[in-house]
Amino acid sequence: MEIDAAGIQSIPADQAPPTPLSMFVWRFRRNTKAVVGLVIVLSLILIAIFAPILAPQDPLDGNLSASLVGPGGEYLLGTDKNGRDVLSRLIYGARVAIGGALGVVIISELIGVPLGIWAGYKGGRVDAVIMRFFDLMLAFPPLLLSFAVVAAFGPSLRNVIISLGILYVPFAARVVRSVTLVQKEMVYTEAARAMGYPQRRIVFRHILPNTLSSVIVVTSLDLAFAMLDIAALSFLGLGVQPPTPDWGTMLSEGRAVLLTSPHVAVGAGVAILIAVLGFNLLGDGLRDVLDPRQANK
Amino acid sequence: MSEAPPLLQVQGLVKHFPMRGGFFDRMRGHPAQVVRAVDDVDLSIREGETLALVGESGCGKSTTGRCILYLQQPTEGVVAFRGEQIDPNNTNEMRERRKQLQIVFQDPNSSLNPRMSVGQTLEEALAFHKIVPKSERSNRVRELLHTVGLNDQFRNRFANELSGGQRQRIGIARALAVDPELIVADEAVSALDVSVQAQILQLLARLREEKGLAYLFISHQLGVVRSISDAVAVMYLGKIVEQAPTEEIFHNPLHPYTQALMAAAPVPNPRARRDRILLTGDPPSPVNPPSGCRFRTRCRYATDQCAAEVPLLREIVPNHLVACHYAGELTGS
Repeated sequence: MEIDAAGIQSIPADQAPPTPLSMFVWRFRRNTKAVVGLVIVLSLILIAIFAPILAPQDPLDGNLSASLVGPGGEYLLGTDKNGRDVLSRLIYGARVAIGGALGVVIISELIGVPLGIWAGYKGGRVDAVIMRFFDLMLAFPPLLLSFAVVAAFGPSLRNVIISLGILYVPFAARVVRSVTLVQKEMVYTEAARAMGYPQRRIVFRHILPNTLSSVIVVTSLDLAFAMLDIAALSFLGLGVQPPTPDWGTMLSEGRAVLLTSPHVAVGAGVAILIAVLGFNLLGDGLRDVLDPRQANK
Repeated sequence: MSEAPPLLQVQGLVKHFPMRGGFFDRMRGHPAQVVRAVDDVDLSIREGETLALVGESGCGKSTTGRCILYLQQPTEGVVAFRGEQIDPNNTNEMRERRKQLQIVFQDPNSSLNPRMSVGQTLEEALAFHKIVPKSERSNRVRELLHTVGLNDQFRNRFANELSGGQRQRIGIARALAVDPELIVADEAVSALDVSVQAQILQLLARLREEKGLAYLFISHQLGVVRSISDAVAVMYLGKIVEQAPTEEIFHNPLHPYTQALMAAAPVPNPRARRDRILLTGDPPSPVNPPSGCRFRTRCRYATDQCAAEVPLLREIVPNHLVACHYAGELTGS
């Protein structure tokens, strides 16, 4: 202990304890689910970014004389009925899958996070109105609502992203609201009020940062669902329009030749499976890592 | 001779919490019920004085503290600081009041924002209230940490890296950041180990000497209260039943409830002979307090008069106020 001139003892801080970040990294690396998920997700992102380098052929330019060639040989995963290289189309399809899913999640969180915090912090009537409206939205089968939007505005990836983005708002908002309800009751929020900080500051400076870890988990899980929903809508011909390479569209095209040339549909299906699995594993793993108390339940 | 107004004067403080019945209760026309958490409390604290507010759980002591800071809006009553009342809706006046009155909370585990370092927490208070110019802030943080007995290295720590006692020191430093004149210590040491309690109490006592702070010390631990306070007010079911200087109330408790409280406090001497006054039953519900004296349902001296008339606080001995019809006639056994 140090004792200064005034005779006041000060407790020296002992060796610096691990920072929150290093604790996070340590726990993350010990979580197999999270690591496998992260590897898959990172690979997908890299594939999407470097698609022009990685793709062996032009994904749009078909060679009609080489239609529905089987896997192996010149075309590693074969060709579709227009003679386009399936592998190249799958690689380019990662761009649509990841970009589209990101778009959906970003839209839903830009709207959902502020509404969720507002509802949770204000409580009472504001909370009741916002949450009942979300319950109403959740009562509709989400894809059905998306059909309606796309039917009204025409099929395109943009319309699918916007409609799914809005449909995903309740999921983001509900999670953020429940975290806000917990944080609001924490004594530090009351201490902030005793300091006279205005509501805006308490919400954005004190409560919002404490909801972030939950938002990250939701983001990762919602990305998986969004990817699946976009693929489903594209499969039905409502999303990505040909000839843009997209996994959902490819699945749909492959369906017609499923019995004679299954490699077209199977390639797209496996791509969707791996991508969704990756985001799901990452989200699940992150939840365990960020909230170790819940992991053992 | 006109006396200067006390530092803090609370008059007729009332806090009722409406109980919102369920939807179906309201449909059937059940009347809305009210929890009378604080019912007509008067307090006054002079400059540099420490007043302890004691009572069992749920008697309204914390609510009183929160109403004084306007963390909860009082239903009725006056809270005046140096004789000045303020309008809680006036932002400027409220800001000034926030600087004069601060609070230290009970639960050291959640009283600090887990995402903010100690330095950020303290600097935020300094910056918001413009206590010192920006260039001085870092120095002031070091001074504050030093004042509460912590090394400057603690400024980069987060709450999860601190022990309970260290967190409580940071909580005190945060309150001190705005140079308050009165600190409400709401069970500030109750959640700590006994040895840490002693350190924090010494810290609070030292700050009182150095800065002339006044405290409203809310606690249920009589031993702690005796060591730090100048005067004690005993609360039961939302009302103050007895108030006196510390030594007076510990030697001569006049209200039967105070007598029972004193008898229940543990004595650090296993061979001491103690006459225990056992209270039977639980405190009545503050939704339907008993008529007359609120303590009568558990008081062994209760008579018909206690059920009929509400006892007022009377000065039985100089400076010793008791709200009991028979105060002074009952000998604590």
